[in-house]
Order: sequence, then structure tokens, then C-alpha cells
Amino acid sequence: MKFDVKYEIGVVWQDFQHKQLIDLFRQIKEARSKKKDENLYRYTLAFLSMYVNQHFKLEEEYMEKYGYPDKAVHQKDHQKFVKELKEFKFENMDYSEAGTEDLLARMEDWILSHILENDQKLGKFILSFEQKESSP
Amino acid sequence: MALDVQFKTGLLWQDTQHKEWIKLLDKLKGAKKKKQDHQLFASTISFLVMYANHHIGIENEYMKRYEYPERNFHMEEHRLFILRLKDFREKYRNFSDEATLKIIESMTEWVYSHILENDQKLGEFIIKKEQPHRLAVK
Repeated sequence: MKFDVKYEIGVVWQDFQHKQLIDLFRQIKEARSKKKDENLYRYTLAFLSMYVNQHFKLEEEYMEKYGYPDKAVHQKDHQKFVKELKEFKFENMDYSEAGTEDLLARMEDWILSHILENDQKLGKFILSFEQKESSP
Repeated sequence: MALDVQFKTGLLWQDTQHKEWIKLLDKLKGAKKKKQDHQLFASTISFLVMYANHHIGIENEYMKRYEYPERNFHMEEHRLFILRLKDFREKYRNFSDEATLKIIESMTEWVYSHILENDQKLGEFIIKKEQPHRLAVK
């Protein structure tokens, strides 16, 4: 997956957080291809829980404060992800090859369908809002 | 802790993350009073590790990108924070009264010495870079 340029919007905190997720995705994908993903598996699950907590909270804070028109849809996406992650963790607490494969597919889907789509729109909105706010 | 007004720079991501720090600190202090702080020990450590990774990572990224003049000093403080956290985790692997006291002390110290000082300066600097007219109307 090549997202280096595509996913950066210019909202530094948001780009940073997306990069963290994408970096981890690459790392565990690479580890999986070498069959060394067992150690990373638990870490990835722990990271994702922390990540959704932090990252979604921030995005939602911005949507709320800046009055983002697509807030409801975006938030629903977040809620769905949180719910699915919770279910996934419940069913796949212990490492398995299939578990990593499943997790990889979910992360890839999230990156393509959410980070590269809705989050781009939100990022652009944040930028334009802040620039508008700062015009004299 | 009544820091609500003082520590807000208006930079939403930074304020939100600082608020979480203060919230956790208050919660921990409350739990300590009721001698229920053992329940919070593991989650507090996870929070601190996450914070070190995440919040500090974002601040460092901004400082580099916008060439913040005081970034060497500020990043050195971050580095020491991470180092102290690592030492702490090695020393206190499990809950103890002493461990919680130590966390409360260090977290409080960090609010006064870092969040209310250097982070405020950094926040204002970032706003000035990104939204130069915003400070004037604040």
C-alpha cells in the first residue's frame, strides 16, 4: 500500500495519528509475511484500543467545536469501528494466524474506506475552518 | 485542580490531551483518598505510556515542522519524561502506596513545570503559525 503522499492533509496532529496507524499496519503485515507476527499481535490490539480512544476523541472534539456538517456520518463510522474492535478482541484474545489475517484485512479496509475518504474530507474542513477563522 | 482557564491555549488537540492528563490526576487523587487507587494503577501506567508516545510525539512533530525556536529545550524535557517513566516502570512493577504517591507527585509537578509553562508557549506559537489572527481576537 502506498499512501505516503495521499493521506497527508496538513492537519499535523491528524496526519501524525494516521501515520502511526499506517506504520503499525505495515509493520504487522511485514511480520506476518515472515511468520513473525505473534509478538506484535497483542501489541497491535492494545495499540488499537488506545488509538481509537485518543484519535476518535480528538476528531469528534473538532467536529463538534467547528460544526462539521458530516459529523453524524463520521461519528457513526467511529462507533462501528469501536464496536467491531471490541467484538474482535473478545473473540480473538489469543494469537492465531487467522486472527492476524483477519485483523490485517480490517485495518486495511479502515485505512482505505475511512482514513483515505472521510478523514480527508474532515481534514480539509478543519484546515479551511481554521484559515477562515484567522482571516482578518 | 482548578486549571481550566489557565491552561487553555485554544489549540484544540493540545488542550484536549492536557485536559485528559488533569482528569486522570484528579481521579487518581480521589481514589487515593478512598484507598481505591490500586484499581487505577495499571490503567494509569498505560495512560502514561500512551501519552508519552502519542501526545509527546505530536508536539515533537509540530516543533520540527514549524521550527519552533525552543524545540531543543522542549524536546529534551520530553526525553527526560520518557526516561523517568521507564525508570519508574522498572522500579514499581506492581501497585504500592508509595508508587501511587510517586505518580501523583510527578504528574502534579509536570502540570506546573511543563503543561502550564512550556506547553502554553508552544501552543501559542503553533496558533500564531497556523492562524495568526486568532491570538489577537482571543
